[in-house]
Amino acid sequence: MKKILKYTLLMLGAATIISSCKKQLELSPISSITDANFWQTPDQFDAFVSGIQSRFRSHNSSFQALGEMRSDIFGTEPGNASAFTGEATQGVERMWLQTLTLDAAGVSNFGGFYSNIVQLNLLIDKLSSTNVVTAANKSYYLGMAYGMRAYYYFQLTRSWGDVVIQTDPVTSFDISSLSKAASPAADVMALIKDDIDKSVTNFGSNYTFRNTKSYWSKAATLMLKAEVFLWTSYRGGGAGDATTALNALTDIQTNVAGLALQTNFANIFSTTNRGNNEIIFSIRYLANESTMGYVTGSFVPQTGLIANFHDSVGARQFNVTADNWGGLLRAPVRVATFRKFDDKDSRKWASIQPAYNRPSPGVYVIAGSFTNKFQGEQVAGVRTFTNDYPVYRYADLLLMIAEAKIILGQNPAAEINLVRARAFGVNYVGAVHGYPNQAIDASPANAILQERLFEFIFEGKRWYDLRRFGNSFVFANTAVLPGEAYKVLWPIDRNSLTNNRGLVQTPGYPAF
Amino acid sequence: MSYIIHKIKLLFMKSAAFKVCFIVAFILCSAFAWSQAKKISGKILSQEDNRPLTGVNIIVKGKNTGTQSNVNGEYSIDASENDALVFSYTGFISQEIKVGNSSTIDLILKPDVSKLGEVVVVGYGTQSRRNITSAIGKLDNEVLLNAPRSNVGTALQGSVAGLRVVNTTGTPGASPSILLRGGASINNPGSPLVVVDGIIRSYNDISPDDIASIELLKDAASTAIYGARANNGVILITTKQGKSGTTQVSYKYVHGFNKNREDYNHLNARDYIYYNRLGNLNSQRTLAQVNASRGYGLLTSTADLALFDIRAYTPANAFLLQSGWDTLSDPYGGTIIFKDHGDEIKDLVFRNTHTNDHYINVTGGNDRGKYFASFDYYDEQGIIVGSDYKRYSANINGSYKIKPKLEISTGVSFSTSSQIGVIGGEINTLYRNLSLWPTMNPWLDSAKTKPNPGNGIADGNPLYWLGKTNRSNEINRITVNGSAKYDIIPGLYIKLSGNAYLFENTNESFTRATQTYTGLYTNPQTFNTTRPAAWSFARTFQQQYNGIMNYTKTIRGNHNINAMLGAESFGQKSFSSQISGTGAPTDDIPTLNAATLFAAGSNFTAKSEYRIISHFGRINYDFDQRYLLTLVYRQDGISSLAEENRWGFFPGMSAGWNVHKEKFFEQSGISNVITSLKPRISYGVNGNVAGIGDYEIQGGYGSQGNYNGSLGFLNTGVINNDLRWEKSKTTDVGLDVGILKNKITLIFDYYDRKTSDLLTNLTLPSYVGFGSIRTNLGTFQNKGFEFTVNANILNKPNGLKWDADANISFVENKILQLPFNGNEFNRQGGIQIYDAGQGKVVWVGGLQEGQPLGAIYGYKQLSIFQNDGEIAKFANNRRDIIATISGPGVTYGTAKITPGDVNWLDVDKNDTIDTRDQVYLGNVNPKFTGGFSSTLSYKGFTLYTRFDFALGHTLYNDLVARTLGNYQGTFNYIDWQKKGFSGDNSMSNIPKVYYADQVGAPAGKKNYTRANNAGQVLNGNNSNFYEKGDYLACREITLSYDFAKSILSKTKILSQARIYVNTNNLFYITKFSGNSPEPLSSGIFAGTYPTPKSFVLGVQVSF
Repeated sequence: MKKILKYTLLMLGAATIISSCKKQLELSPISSITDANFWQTPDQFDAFVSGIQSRFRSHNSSFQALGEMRSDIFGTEPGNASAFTGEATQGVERMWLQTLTLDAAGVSNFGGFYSNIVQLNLLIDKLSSTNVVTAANKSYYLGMAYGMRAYYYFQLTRSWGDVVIQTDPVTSFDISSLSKAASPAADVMALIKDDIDKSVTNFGSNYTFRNTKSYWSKAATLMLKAEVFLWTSYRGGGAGDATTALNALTDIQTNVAGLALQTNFANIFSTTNRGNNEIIFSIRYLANESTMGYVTGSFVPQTGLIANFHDSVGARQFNVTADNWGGLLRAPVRVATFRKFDDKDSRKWASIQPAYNRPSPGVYVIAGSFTNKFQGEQVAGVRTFTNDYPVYRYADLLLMIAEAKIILGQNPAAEINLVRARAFGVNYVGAVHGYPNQAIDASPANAILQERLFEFIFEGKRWYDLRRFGNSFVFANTAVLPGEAYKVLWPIDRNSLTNNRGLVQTPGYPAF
Repeated sequence: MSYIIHKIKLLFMKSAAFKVCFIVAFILCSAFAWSQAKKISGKILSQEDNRPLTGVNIIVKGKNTGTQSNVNGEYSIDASENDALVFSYTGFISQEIKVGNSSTIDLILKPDVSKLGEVVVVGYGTQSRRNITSAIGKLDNEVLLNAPRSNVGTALQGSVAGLRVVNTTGTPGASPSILLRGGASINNPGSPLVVVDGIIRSYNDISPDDIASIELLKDAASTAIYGARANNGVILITTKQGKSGTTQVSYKYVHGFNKNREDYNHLNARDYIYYNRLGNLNSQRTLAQVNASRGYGLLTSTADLALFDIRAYTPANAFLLQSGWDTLSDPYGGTIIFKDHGDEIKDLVFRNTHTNDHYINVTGGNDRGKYFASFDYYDEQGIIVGSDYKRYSANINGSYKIKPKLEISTGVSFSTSSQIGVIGGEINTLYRNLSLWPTMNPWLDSAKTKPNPGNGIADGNPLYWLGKTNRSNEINRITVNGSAKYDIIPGLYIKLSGNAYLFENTNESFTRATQTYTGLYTNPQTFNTTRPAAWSFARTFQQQYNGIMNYTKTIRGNHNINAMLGAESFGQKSFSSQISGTGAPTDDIPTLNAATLFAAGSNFTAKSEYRIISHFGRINYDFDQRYLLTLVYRQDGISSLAEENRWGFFPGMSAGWNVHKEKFFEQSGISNVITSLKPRISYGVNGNVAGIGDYEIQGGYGSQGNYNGSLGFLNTGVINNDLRWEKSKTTDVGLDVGILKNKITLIFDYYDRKTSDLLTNLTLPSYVGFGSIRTNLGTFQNKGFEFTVNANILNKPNGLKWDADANISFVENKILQLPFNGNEFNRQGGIQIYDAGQGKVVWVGGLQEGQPLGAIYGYKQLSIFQNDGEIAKFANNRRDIIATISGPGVTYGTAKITPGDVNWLDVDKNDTIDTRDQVYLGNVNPKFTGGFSSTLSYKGFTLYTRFDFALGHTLYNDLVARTLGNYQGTFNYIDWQKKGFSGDNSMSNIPKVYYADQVGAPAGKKNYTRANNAGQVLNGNNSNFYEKGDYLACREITLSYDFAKSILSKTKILSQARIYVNTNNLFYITKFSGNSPEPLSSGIFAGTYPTPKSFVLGVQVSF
């Protein structure tokens, strides 16, 4: 009996000891950080801001797709469903053919933008209550956060009109009330303008750039401000908004030293010329850090395939050493777009690479073309796409000034001609190329649009530009028919509709 | 009350200190019985090997008295003349003997060989199936006997009812996927918990020859003892332990010959060129575009001319006809000259290989100590070039009684293995390599010594890419366990055990400078000199300590009690690391020391840890072996849940009734037919937290990689403290029946498992900014039955014996509840189709409450339009929104429907084919699975066969659709193309050949893949490429011969010898056209590494 009792007690004792060692079950992560110990030091705030920029970079392909894939830049040649090199378009064509549906929405999940918006919200929230960050950094970071949030919402509302507004950080979920309706586009626009104001206020007089212009800055906010107010000036804001836009742009010119046009257009994008004096804000790519995956995914050809074609410039056949694009050409540049450029315009050759068949020596027949604005660099025999992607640059500033001046009835020639003169370089003849001497200059709006097309091809601007000037410009330049005005907005993809019952399909698109 | 007093008295009796008290009390209480008692003693031996049996229960029937035999098999007990003694021992047939006049009763116990008498490992103990009241399956060891196995998981295929085991790949060493009773989860059905000799680990790298038994705990009452981790079932593996007796050495050698399975045939170069160029013509591609295509185009660059043996025919190259070239007429006009390299790549990809398996073990022992040691070497080359598996494993275990009451056991096992898969991925090998351009010469020289790199790792000669790559893998597993068992008093023991498991995985790889064919012909040659080198190392160290106390007692002769109480602590520490570099200046150093660039983000070390603390108990009670009851519980606390939800309590109960032991049954005529009959019922709760990250609930900030050189962090997980245990409640009703003296035994189970608080990912609305969150908001139900029959069909005196067994299980699953998201049936995902019955558009697929998992929807192909008349008749006004084509009567789209295109079912009859016109096409999950085997023996010869089957599942044959649909644009077709619309039309369901089906018209008409762009997508394709997967597989046929004792005795060395020949995976009987009809959780057959057919010769001898 004693033994039984003894051992039973021993066992129970052991069981109790083991199960009472509840502390043993309190484990904290070793190789990652939890909520409990983040936001304690200035380094952590810095790292978070770096993370925000990093995720912004991950949205690059969405920015590009929303900004120009539905415009008149890309497409296969008439009668062809594949690129001239033979690669299939694999659904990308739906964007330029304007055949998007909820199952092939072109850009789904609202570009993934909310995944950074909630981080920005969290940053704003934490900055507001912290005292570990220096006052200077705090206001700089708040300026960045409000500015970037406005940038995201501006992308969203230009693409989907009414969208859900989320300005609070997400720290927990109430699963029973996850559905949330979209706010009217007007409310979204009000938020954007409010965020821009807050950004400007927080930046205060700090016009400095950080991380060689790869971080959002006050100048970026002012560029966004100009873009937003130009947008609303066509939508009831009139001269007042155009003036606001113009003031924002001249604010940059006044307060940011050293901004100018690069002499050589191609140099703007060079991997050895990062953060050059034309750049206001660009997304940074670096070898062994991050590459522009979407470029190889859809915009440049396979090396082995392009090697079968010729370049009429230099009368040479492409070769696998120098022309090792190493991509898949799903979205070629239309030959018609290539041909819009003047041969003397340096932007033609720095933006688009044509490819020719050579049926007999000396005879070149164009087969197609593709974008070569971002050429990357050669790393160990592999072309690595590490160009910075400009979000805002000085040419954009000049052309927006010109645009604002046109709205305000002022003469835009000075700014337009700065851009044209740089583009044509030594070939520039003011009487021929200068504003208002080109045929298109008869319509200042079209002149601006065309100049922006030549200047910003593959920088995610064209579709938004056409949209900004108005639906008639969209109808005139893209496959959207006047009877299908609803198509200027994008459809919401099926999953997004399923996951948020509060959403309704963009009016006009079928709901099944 | 009196029961308790008796119990206390009995306990007193065994305690030396209280012996005097006991005697006094005993005399007082049982004076009458005492007066007539006498001492009976004897020795008990096993009939199996004539060795003493220790621990046999001896009770005086109907009395309180009982004892156990000692290590020498001896016992002594007090009984009177009229008493009967009952001798029982797990795994042996109980005997009842009248005392009579004798004072010595020696006995030989017979092992219980019938299925219903087998010993079953139940977790922290063993039990005879006669007393089992829950659902436990046991593998027939015959399955492990013959076939060489790189992974023991394959032995479970079709051999235990309720388990769905699928060979998802034939790559040697790979574990099959295992699912119990349809899986208990919506998102990620887990595999059963594997416990090997008490150690929670994987069964990979265990030598099948080391295994003594494999049990499968299925219902909640049996798995509750493993509580927290057990709701997908538990596989208990017990390895061989030492046996007392003279030392025996056993050696086994198995040699296997492995061969590829039949597969699709691809076209030769002539047909390849013809059909591809015809397809281009049908797709309105220009001659220039055709000729700019690889393989069938007439490319003129030096590199292309060197790679592809195809030219425009001219008198100048007519001489090539002398050296094996041939000509054909181009559908575009003109003549083409080419050389056929069809199947050359296929012959390089596949190879016939050998398996070698040497196994040796030594076992022996005496009364006090036993030992077992084994060594195994296994080597199998995969039938796809580059894949390989090697394993060395060793095992030593032993036990020793250092004191009569104290036994110490220890064991160590070690294995080191290397598993290398195919280069470039299995699907790529099966699709891309095999459908490569048959005009490509895989060799650069006529002596065939220099392989052609082609256009990349999956688009060239695999030998080139293998030659440029070093890959090595080493997996080490070490287990150590020790235990001490102390017999406090007969029937009561305490056992303390500890074990440790160390798992290490090291991978190394290095790729030399490579080039593609185009780089060969530049001057200088062009190379990719990235030279990636990587090394990764992962280690998991696991410790487990437990103590159990077990008490076995018979009270009043027929109340049998076995009670167990235990506690356990489990902990796992993981470490992983990787170094990944590029830029080595030379090919000659395959290690990382030559790499020059180590990019941030690709190098790391990481640590994590988790712990589980538990206590558990079990009581088995039976009355006279007639009424059986088992109660079991386990409480687990786990570190990965928040404090308030950390502890889970998992109870189980089961009861059974041995009807055949009832007087009324014994006396009825039924007992002549039905020897044993045991209905049983069980209910229990299991838990699961699998898939929750060690620190997931704490929320987190994760690395976003570098931005402009500085590392970024973002909030990557939200604090999720509410997460708790997933709980499965299972009711199981079973029946064990033995017919004709247990010659035929039946085991039947019906179960209903409801898993609630299901760990379910809820995909979140976009605005939330996080993709999904794990919730406890799902309920999932599996219902089904399992049936196992074992029969001894023949047992002739002349030695002819025939046994057969079979099992079948049926499972049905249904989602009962999903996280609320406001949609009807809280649907997640899914598609909208027109339901003709309801006359409206409805949501189907995805996840919906009330619906099963795995339903497939796609477009129904009614026929192929044979001519314009048919099109005008059936589709004159049709708009095909999917392909943007239309019938002749309407103006729409980018091309017209032409003969050879598919006539789709227009479900809603609106002359428009769109996503609403999809129909139900089957389910990815089989309804029935099972297997059967037969053993026919005569004298020394035994013929053993084993089959398994799965019925009711559907597979989307992406491989065929992808190949025939020419998704890639230049690759080869399988030979069905020749029989399709563009060929002799004998397979009249194959549409016209086009260039790249998935591309918009006119290039493609989306006749194969409809709703996507050639992705591997289950839904939304052509119904014609959804194939029924029903199959019957011949897993094993073995003919063996055991040498007769008379022959063996002449050798004076051998005690046993056996030789056999066997075939494994010889054939599938199935209508499925691919090489493996086995069900896949994705439902998409994209090309599976074929499980080889093996032909085996084996020898086994014992000394």
